[in-house]
Amino acid sequence: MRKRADRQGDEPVIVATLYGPSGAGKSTLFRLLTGVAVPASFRRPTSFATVVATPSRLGDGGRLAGHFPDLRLEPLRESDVDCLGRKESSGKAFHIPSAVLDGSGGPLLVLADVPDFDTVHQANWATSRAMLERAEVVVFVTHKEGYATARAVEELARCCGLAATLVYVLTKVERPEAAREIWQDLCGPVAAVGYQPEFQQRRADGMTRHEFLCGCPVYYSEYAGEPTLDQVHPLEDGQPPLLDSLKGLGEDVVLRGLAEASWRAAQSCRAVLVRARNRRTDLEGNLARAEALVQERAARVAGSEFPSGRWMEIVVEEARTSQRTLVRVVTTPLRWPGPLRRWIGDGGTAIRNLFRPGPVRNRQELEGERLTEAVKDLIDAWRKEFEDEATTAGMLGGERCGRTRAEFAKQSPPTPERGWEEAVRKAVRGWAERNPKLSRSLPVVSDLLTAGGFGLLVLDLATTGGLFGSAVVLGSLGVAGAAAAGVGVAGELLNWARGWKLEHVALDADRSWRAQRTDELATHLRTHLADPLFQPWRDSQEQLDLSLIESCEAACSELEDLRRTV
Amino acid sequence: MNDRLFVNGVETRVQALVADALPFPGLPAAHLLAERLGDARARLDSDGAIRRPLHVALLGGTGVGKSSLFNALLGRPGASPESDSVKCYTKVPHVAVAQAERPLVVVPEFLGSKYVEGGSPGLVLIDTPDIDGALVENREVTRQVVERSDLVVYVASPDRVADFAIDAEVRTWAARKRWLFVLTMLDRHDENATAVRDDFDRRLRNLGFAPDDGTRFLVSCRQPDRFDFPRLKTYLFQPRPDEQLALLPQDAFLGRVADALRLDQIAPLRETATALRQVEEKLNRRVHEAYADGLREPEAAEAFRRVVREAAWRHLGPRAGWFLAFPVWLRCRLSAVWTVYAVGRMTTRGLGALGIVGAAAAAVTAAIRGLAPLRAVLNALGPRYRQRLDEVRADARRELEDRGLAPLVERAASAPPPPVPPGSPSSGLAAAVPLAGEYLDRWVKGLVFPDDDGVAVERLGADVDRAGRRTARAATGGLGGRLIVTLANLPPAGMLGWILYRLGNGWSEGTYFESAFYLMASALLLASLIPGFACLAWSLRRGVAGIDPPALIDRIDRPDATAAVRAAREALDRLADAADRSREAVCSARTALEEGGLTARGFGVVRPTTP
Repeated sequence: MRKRADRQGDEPVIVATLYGPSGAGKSTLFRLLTGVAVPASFRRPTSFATVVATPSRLGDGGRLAGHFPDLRLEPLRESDVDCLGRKESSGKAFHIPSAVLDGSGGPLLVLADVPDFDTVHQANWATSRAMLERAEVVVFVTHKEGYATARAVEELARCCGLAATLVYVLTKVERPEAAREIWQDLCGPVAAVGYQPEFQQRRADGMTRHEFLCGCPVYYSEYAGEPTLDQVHPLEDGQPPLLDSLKGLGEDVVLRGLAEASWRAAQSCRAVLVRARNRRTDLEGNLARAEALVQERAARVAGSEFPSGRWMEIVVEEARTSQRTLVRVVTTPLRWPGPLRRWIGDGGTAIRNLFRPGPVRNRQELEGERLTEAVKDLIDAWRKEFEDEATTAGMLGGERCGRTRAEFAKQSPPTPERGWEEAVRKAVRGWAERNPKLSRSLPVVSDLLTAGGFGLLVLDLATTGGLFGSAVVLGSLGVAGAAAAGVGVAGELLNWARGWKLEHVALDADRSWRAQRTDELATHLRTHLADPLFQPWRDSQEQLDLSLIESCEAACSELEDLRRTV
Repeated sequence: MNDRLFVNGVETRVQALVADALPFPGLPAAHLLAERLGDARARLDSDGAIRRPLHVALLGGTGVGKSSLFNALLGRPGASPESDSVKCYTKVPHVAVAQAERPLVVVPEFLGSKYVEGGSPGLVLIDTPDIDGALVENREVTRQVVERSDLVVYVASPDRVADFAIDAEVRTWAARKRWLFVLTMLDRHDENATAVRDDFDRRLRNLGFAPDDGTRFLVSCRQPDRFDFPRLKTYLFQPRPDEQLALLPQDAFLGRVADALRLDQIAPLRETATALRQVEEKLNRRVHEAYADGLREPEAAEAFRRVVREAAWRHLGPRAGWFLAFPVWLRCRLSAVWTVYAVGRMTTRGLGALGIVGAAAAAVTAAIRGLAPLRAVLNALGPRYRQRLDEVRADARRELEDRGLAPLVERAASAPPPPVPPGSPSSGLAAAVPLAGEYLDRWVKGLVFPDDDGVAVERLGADVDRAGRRTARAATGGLGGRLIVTLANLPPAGMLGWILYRLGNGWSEGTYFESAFYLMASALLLASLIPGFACLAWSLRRGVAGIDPPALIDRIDRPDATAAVRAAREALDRLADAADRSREAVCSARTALEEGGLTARGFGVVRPTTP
């Protein structure tokens, strides 16, 4: 919203700015209107600074600053005048009192001369735009050669949307009829056809910009070596001279200016809020897609492993609880060679590793590798899914992904929670109750096999492809004194379980393992990979708080209501 | 006379540049370069065949007086309708051409050009619509005309010399075209004509031109007898020899190429190459760290030293000097000696089942013996090393994808594995059994490395080979290295000299030596190689065993894991270098064209091709 509160509470002020392309004669007209000798020459661009002429009563810099909160106004000294046409003064703003603007009663008129908006010195564009945003009245000055340039017409459309009052001044015409033809051309083919979308936008007062343009007062001046104010004529008969027209503006202009600015601010704000809502929706969708990929990869890793050794241990442990004490005591010595067997087993593994390293892995090692693969795959999937971010400066740029992946690699995968073990124990206890004979004989068979050097019942750890996968990884040993047998496959495990009527227990264990481990790995991936990587999106999501958007929308409605009040 | 005398060299360069730029379709600068150069060639082919009159287009903003100038130059008011009020009045090109030359006009028909009387032979004068007006379609019409024009007359009025839109348009065409500059409405600035001219010149200089009285004209279309108007008219309408006009397509081609090769167009290629160099250095460091971590154990480091030393031997041959090259070569192929012997025996004594089995066994043994040390190093480096190198490869691929170099990544992925270093045991196998060697080699690798270890070993082999190359260079380079090589070659050189002296003496005296002499001479020559060979072996051993693993690892200056980034970077560097050289060639060709044909007035100025 326009910052234009008159904090002193005294007479209202109307700011009028001379706005136009280079060489149109803005500075010349300013000089004629105010008597302030700003430079006007044939060098292009001529002006680089803003000069504000004020009524004498407003000459105090402090009061003036209240009306131009965005400008740092300096008094214009004689020595500064020469600098106005030099680049050193670019962006500066000066003020100077002008007796011509001292009116009797009514709002005070402040007249601003600004640089061009169309030359190669683009800093001028911003300078002139700043004053345009502040002014209630725009005096659009253009010469006949420049009225139809794309830039001039675009800026004219902007002025029609911003100003409470627009005055169009056409300079350097050669005959009065030419001015009329130009005006008709502008209101007709150029604005109504060539730039229809811009000029069809509505203003706060309900008019289209095109209607507003066609209704504004028009003045023209013929080309003259020594121009005077008398040579500036109204296009329509009965209109007051330009200076009188400007000085005669009433307080309603201030209010209309305020209403126009606030309505426009509300419209701009609404557009921003729509974008914000859309952005928020997009972000939510994107983050959900990213999360789905995390879940998928976590499930894939969890599904590629099954702690078969641990499961067997639990089965034997639980079965042993149903053994008679005497049998347990008798079979104890059968388990003694365990450590020895393990040592031999490790030696065998080492020998085998020499020839063909790799296949003998424990679950953690295997899971670590699978996780590394999954991270690589996940990053590539994200980059493919959100291609726009996969650039050097993007959120999923190669370097950033590499850094995040390196940080992720420092984190150990989570230890499996005990919930799965408890569930397996419960299921095995149920099995033991239903099959008391089998449950009592299982530990004995296990102990006998262990003593005999067969490790089938104590296979440890990993099977690729899960319990039902086709690919098989041989397990390393090390549990319950198993020797270097280390030969186990998912199929064998399942066959064995079927023989002992443990098939359902095994299937349930596999299912619950997948579910639990998927959750754990997904959390791990989310916390240490997805969250750091997608942090910018999460930050944006937080900034685009829904309640904040809704409160802004309410404020916009209030601003729009102001139009009706005015 | 060759039709393309002045552009032949440039054309070849352009062709090569297009081929070099095509592999980078995702890189806008390269894509644009290929497109523009391709377009320039196509236009040269299409325009070069026609002898056409000089096409002169008037270019400028709305209301600057293009139509007035056009009419005044023709001396026909209203030839191109104008208005003192309404602007953007000209919507289609107005073309003034001699009746007989009308079929030679290259302005496209679909622009709906209007032809007017009053054209001069050898000249097509075109009034174009504005380039900055509210009617956007006008700009496209004008661009089509300017594209096909030989000479552009930039028309400006004193009030509008600094317009941003016009400035931008002129910049777009600056390097491509020949230019004249006309400032109109001078009658309004009669008293300040000099200052107005200076302001105009200042603007032109900012655009990169060097205006002078020969190419810049201040005119008033209302007063065609004043200012520079008569001079302008004479300049434009002067007769031009056909030979000069025939050079215009070549000139246009050089202009288009110069524009395509502007420094600011090539800069993004250099920037990308620089960025890739930084990425490569960073990734190389990670590769070195992976090696360093894997070689922490002394046994692993020793195994690595061993394979590097073997690789160094393979690269020592060409550096060992004339005499020692032979024993070095022989040493590298010791493992294949038995295979060669077996194959040789088969060829001399005929094929036999036992011979074939023997040769195959020898070959397989040689291959396994050659690959086993690499396998041992790979085992020593451990799975973590392979994982880290895979990560480096993935990061390298992503870095390339980020920069729109994905096609290069795909190409690298489908490329064959790195070549086996010459003289390595496995390639010795291929050399020993010429026809089936390659297949046998692959089969042996498949036997030794049943899974993807084969690829890992090959990649490791490439890195080791690189380190070996550097080691060989270090052992034989520098003052010390060269001294060793020289000293090592001295005994066999002296021995050969002595043998030749004896032979020469004998022949001159008519004495014929017995075979014992030749046997003895050969034995002595071989024996004379031993001290030098030992010296080289000592130098190599010292060069490998005497340094820490990190220093040894540093010798892997072009690791296989970063090959894709390196290839992209080198290709970009080559492309940018070629572009720079071509730019210089264009400059020279333009100068030659100026001096050789277009020296006469009436062809405007050309903007310096090097901005």
